Amino acid sequence: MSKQEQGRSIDKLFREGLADYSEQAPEYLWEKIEGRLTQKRRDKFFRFYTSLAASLALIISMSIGYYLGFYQSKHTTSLNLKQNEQSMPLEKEQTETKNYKESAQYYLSTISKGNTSKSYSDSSTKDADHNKNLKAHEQITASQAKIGINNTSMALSVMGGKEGFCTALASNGIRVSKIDGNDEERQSVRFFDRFYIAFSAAPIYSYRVVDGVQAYTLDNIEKPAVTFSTGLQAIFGKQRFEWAVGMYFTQMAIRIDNVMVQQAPKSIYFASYSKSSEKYSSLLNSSGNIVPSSSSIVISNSEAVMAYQYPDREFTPNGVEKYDKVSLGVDFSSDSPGAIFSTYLTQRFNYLEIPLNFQYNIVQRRFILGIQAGLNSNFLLSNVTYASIDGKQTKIGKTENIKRFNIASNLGLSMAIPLSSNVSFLIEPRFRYYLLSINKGLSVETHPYSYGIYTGIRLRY
Amino acid sequence: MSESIQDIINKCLKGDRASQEKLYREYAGKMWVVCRRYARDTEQAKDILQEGFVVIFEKIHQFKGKGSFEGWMRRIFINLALAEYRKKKLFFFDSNELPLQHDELDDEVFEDDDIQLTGAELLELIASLPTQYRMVFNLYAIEEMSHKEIANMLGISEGTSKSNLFRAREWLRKKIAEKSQFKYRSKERTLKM
Repeated sequence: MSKQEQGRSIDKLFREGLADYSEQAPEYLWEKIEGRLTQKRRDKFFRFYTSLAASLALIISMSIGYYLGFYQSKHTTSLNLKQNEQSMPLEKEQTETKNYKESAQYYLSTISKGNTSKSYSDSSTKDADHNKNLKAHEQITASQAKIGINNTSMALSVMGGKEGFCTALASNGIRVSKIDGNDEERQSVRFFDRFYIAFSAAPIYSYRVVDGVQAYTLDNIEKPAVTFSTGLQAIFGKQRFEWAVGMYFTQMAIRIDNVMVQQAPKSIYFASYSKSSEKYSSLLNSSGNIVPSSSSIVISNSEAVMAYQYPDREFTPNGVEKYDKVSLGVDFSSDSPGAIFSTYLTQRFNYLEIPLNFQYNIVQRRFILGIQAGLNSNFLLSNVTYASIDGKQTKIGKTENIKRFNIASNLGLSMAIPLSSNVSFLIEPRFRYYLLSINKGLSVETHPYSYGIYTGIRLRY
Repeated sequence: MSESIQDIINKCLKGDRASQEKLYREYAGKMWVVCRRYARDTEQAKDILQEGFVVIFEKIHQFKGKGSFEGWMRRIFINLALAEYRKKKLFFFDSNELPLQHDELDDEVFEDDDIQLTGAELLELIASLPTQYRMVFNLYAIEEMSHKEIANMLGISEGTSKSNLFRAREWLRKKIAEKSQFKYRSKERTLKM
């Protein structure tokens, strides 16, 4: 029989022998599959409802903005006018109308010169000069001076009855910034009355919550890690409420102790290659399987961990099976087995976060103290695992099956200590918790969390 | 009367969980063997089987009825196993670095007439192959792919695919010989003592 024929006969033997061969699949696998399918369905619903909630929040915010900025200004103007009309004695109406016209014309001329701010004091003075003897009119001009463009709108509407034009002017954002007096009236025309830019950063304490049968064992080998977070927020405030949107770079991390890392020689010959050999090349933990970036690196758990994963086998302290010394492909008795390090790993997950936070200020004087809550959209930027070798953090691989997108909830406090009229020092203890499991496809659910005290600067514009 | 596979598939298309379970029970055994053939160990085979069925239930609408459903499923499992292999391409050695020992094979004559190995034994033998040999042997001998296709799928050269197949057969032949359930005879070698 020629070599080719021999080869074909071997192929045929296996092809035909295995063609219809089947074995009992492992038990409980269906339950796992069913769990995955249910989880996926849940995720799908979650994504749908999250998008729906975000859309609704946007629509509601825009509606409130519209109501406060457009609708209300229109109705405030009309209401003021009616009140003023009612308060004026009939016999004085003719004089009042004349004075309105004068003040309105003056406003228009000053606005067209781009000197709107100044116009208020000037116009107030002018009005006062012209109408000292008319109490009702004094009230009206004072009100006009306080509410900015609405005064102009009202004056215009009185003058020419062009209310539509006036409200359009108001809604288009023409607004006087330097107005003394009644802030509440001013706030009624905008959905926010103050705006800040905040920069903050913090070292954060990062860990995870594990839900699953292996949680106890994983808790024994995994530890929290200290990482950092930094970013910017744009903050809009009105009365005691503030809402913020921003962009943060945040690193989440988990530390794994009792790990063996081996730099195996490249000229490995697998004299006793066995199917058990490869399992030592990667390491499974709560967030997924850590795979080395190079085929010459071996990562393994210590004896305790391996003994848990394979309770029917015996292991040496470095996690190698006692009866299978060469299973790593390395002859430990040889002169060059490669360096072996007993160390710890740190899995680092870098996220770009888009936070949407809401804040209520309990104290709002010069010093501000508020409660914050919100949601983060987290986009995974990178996922790297480091080993501490000779005191240095050395990149050795990455974790598989990490979700590229996650959602986290935020809860915290915000304290702003004024440094000057526009600058405040921020102190913000903040807790974040990932609502979705970090991994996909594992039997354990792992939700990272972190807490830290952010410090930074807040600038008012 | 039991439901036809097509009926079960139709219900799976609507996301019916009971039908998904029926489909799983129907094919899990065969697909488990496919996963075992490609996986490095039973743990990985379990992962592939689990992932494969999740993919199948999610993508079942993509099965257009051309060819057998079993073949379509098998393809998914093989693709997943290959993806796993490409991700964890660890510790395989490049056979080009190792001299092929043709003379060893020349001395052996393999006759398959009386070989009686069970499916379990054959599976065990394939599973014992080194990773890259196992991949090439599965794809060539069982899935009947060409070396060119295999080379593309595994990211190796055709020559490497051929030499891996050669080595895989050699490996299997030796393992079969160890089992002593077939005719195996070695020619007397004239060795210089």
